[in-house]
Amino acid sequence: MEHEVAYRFKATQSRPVKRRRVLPGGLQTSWATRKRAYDELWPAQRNRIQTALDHVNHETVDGVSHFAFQAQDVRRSGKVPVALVITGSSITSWTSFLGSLSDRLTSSRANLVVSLRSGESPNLKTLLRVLIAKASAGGDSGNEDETLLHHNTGRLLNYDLQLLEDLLRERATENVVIAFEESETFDGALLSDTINLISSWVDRIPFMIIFSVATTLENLQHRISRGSLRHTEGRTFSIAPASEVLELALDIAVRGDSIPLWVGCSVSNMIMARQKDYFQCTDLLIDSLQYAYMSHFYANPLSIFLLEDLQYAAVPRDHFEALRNLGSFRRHVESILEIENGADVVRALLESDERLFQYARDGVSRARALVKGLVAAVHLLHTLRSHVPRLDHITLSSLYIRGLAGELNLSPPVRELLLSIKMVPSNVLPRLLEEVLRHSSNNSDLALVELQQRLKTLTSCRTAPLRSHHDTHGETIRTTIVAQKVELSKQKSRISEDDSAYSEIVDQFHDYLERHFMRTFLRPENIFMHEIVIYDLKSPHRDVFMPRPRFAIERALSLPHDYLDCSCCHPTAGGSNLENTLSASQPATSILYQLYMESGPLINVADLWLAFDAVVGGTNNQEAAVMTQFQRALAELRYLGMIRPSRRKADHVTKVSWKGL
Amino acid sequence: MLPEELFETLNEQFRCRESQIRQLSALYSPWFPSPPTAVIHGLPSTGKSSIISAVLDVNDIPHALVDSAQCVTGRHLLERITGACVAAIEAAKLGSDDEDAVEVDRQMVERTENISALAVNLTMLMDGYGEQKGASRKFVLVVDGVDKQREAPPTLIAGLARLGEMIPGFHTLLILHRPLPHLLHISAVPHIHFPPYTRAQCIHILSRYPRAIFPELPEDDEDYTAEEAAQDNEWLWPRYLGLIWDALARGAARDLSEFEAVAERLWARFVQPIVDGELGTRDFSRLVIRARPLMQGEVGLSDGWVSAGAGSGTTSKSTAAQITGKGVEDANSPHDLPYFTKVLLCAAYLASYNPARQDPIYFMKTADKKKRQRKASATTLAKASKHKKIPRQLLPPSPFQLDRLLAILRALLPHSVPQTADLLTTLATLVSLRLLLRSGAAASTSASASAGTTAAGDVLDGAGKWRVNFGWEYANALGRSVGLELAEWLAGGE
Repeated sequence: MEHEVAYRFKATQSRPVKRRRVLPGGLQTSWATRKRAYDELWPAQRNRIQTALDHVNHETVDGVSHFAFQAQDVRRSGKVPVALVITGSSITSWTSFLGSLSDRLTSSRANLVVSLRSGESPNLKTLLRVLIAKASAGGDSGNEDETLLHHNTGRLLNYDLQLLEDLLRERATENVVIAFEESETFDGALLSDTINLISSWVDRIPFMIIFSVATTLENLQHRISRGSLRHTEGRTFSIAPASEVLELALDIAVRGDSIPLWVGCSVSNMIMARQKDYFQCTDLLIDSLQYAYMSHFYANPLSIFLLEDLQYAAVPRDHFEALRNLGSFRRHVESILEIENGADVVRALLESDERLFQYARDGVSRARALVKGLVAAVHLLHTLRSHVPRLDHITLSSLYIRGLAGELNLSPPVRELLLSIKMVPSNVLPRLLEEVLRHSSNNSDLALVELQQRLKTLTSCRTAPLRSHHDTHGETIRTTIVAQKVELSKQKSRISEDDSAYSEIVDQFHDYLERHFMRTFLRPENIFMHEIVIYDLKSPHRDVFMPRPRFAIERALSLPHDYLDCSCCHPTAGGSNLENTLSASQPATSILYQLYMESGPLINVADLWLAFDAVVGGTNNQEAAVMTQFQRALAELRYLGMIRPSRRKADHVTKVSWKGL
Repeated sequence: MLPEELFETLNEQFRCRESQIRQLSALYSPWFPSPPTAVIHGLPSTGKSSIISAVLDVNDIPHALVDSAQCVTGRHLLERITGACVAAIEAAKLGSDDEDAVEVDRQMVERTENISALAVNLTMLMDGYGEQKGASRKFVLVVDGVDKQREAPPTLIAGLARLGEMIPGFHTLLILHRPLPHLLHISAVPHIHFPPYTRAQCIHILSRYPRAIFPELPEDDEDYTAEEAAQDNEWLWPRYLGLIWDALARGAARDLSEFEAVAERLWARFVQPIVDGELGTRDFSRLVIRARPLMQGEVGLSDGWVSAGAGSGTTSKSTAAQITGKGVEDANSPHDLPYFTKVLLCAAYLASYNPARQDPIYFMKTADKKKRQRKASATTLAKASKHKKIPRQLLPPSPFQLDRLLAILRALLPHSVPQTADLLTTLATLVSLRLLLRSGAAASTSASASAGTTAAGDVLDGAGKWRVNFGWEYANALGRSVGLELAEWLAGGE
């Protein structure tokens, strides 16, 4: 082969096999099955969430595309149509919005959507170059060489908009939409310049601009010159706030018939709190959910029981031992023992794997049904609360978190709802009944349907809403003075027969709901096999999604033993108390850092050296070596951004960072 | 000179520009020699370029018009000049029905890197052109707004002005906003000034096309014919223009197109009482009284997407929304920033506007709030008596260090702050949104990083300094939304 100048490399194998133990033992034997389960179950969930999210902003997409179709009218007056889309601080909602917008625009008519980012367009020339390149690549025909040949006035520079005009003349384009992604990050002068230039071309190229506004409109407007603003005609749009989108995404992720796995209260609480405190970003939510699925299926051998088509033969033996050691299994067994013939059942479960297999399958499907019912009840609670007037708005996510924590039964949100249902007038009640009917499956429907019928006949011939006798509306307070004592007495105005009939309906509805909530708001940890259907481990998420780099560095420097785990550096090795942890065996940077922590904002390097020398304690002939260590440690601290040479005083360094911030 | 009837048509088309049209047609007549270079100057929308091209068209002089507002660089302008000249000369040759109308050799004039190349190219172009029908054949290059050219080489204007001297039959006409004789480096260049239109001229020009009072004629009223409506429009519109000029445009929109824009913007509101049937079409004085708030406010003058006074009062906001027809976003928009982002912004504001010296007074947990305020006001009073100090809030924000920001953040919050990377990511997001700015030496590195070259400087480098990029109102509103009263923490507050 060496005689050839070049040859084609043909790989013999697709991928080199890693040298490792191929046959996993113990609980790892089910790894392949679990991987299959994950590959089957997660993508389906992800697609469900993604399709729902893609439709979130359809109203805004409609508005903007409508604006684009009418943009010709604006351009006729010599102005540039500008759509200002207020997106909030989250960038992900913007990308999904722009994606669906450009799909809409490019599908229905001849439109061209070009998205610009500030990183790729630092000045006007580059911006135009990028714009023309993207516009010509986005079309169906031609590359740049062709366009260079087409025009009729000699060679054009690659940032000349004439190129774009020539290109568009062949395509009969209706709109060239320039979308400025994160318009705050663009330089204000650049934006003004671009608008000026574009407005001078608007009679030949059908331009339209979309700005994504992350902060406020005023903020953006202040940075664009007035002269440029005069060339524009703006209209504002707003896309769905990130918090609403998040609620929706969470709802999709936990409610439905096909959900295999639920995220428990502590993990979901952590995810949602992080969204509220730091970022509002649906991608992050999806990532967190995916990580929960991954952790569950990759690390929990019992997750194979979530597979629908699991065969007894496919389950390795030791998995049954693991099943028998589950906390919920033990509790369940203890509860069986109390009933009659329970001992026989338990014996069979403990002795026969096959019996246990069937039992566990049933248990898992029962647990899934229970959790599904719980989540559905949470959703019902949220819907009802939104229909009843004068109730505080509680987000669905927080209700879900409390529901999975098992705190919802008889909790304030539920009691509030039940109390106000007692006082609900008859124009609100039908909607509530409908919601409950839609929610509930087949059983116990009859009672509700009957209630609905009675309500219908009662209210059919009336215009004013009926009130139940719990309503304080008809109450008057009467004061009587008897022997210089004031007595307050409440008196009900007499209620009509219809009202009392209505009150009966309300009471029955109230009792039904109360029973329903009592039945469904279980404590998840009491559900048999809840370990398999609910994933609730906080620490993997915390480690993966919330790194603490500064804390880690500071801990490593101030307590090197935590990372090195050597006997010489052990805090108690010196015999002294925990405070004094300096010892010569520690790494030099760590020693210097601890000395640095004790000093003030300006540090004399000579003092630092003396202290360092005292700790490391070399003899005279070792001084050069210690000095090397010292200098190296000092350089490392400087590299970490902790000290800076000071201009104020000679031979001093400035302390830049404080621990724990 | 122009034949009188041609002159009349031009004058009809462009009102109030009689002397300029006469001067131009004297300078560029097909029979008399023209100056190699001439300068037209005047403020925007005084009819410069449209009158020039109309005069040249009428006189049948081949010309090329290049608008330097559309050119991104100086090189771009030169390339476009070449392109436009090639196209115009080709068209002129075709029009003259010359037998040997050879195509202009495009290869010859391919590149125009600088002004010398332009001179060479144009010489070659004009070579076969001027001699065809004797010396009387001329070609005019009009460069519009050349003094506003972006990235122009310093010799651009002077070079363009010299082209006419070097190339026979070639004439340059420069349109400038202001006459700058020192830029040309030649004397005795004819200048024609296009002065801004006066009040009477503005109203005269705009009255030619009166706007309609009724968007469509009321159908139920058969007595009111279209002719009557046109008469009413003609009667009311000039009076309205006079009112607008006196009230608003005289001070703020003297330029004809701006004046027209303001008048158009307010017209619908002005005639609303007539459309509603409350007033007659000739009740001008009562209409003026009705329109008084319009004329007193700045509603008609705001060009932006959001009116300038949107934050101050709800009334101006609603009127602005009605007039401009633009949706005005509510102040408390549903797009809320996350909690720590808000607190971080508040802390950054305090770090920028509080002197670092006084941090122990304001942010130490032990310091009593009342004491803190008294102490602060005492110090400021003592200072104020010696020499007048400008209140800090009126000054630009001062830079602060990252650690100081984080320390203030901790002092502001009653609970502890988790020490995760999320906080720093939030900070980076705020920098990318330009709510926080880096200042000093580090700013240049971050600018180059954002320019997409290489991420030279770490965005979160501890040594850099930072500044806030928003005002007191925004910070205060943010603080209130997270339950912080910023005035309590701010030094020098009244």
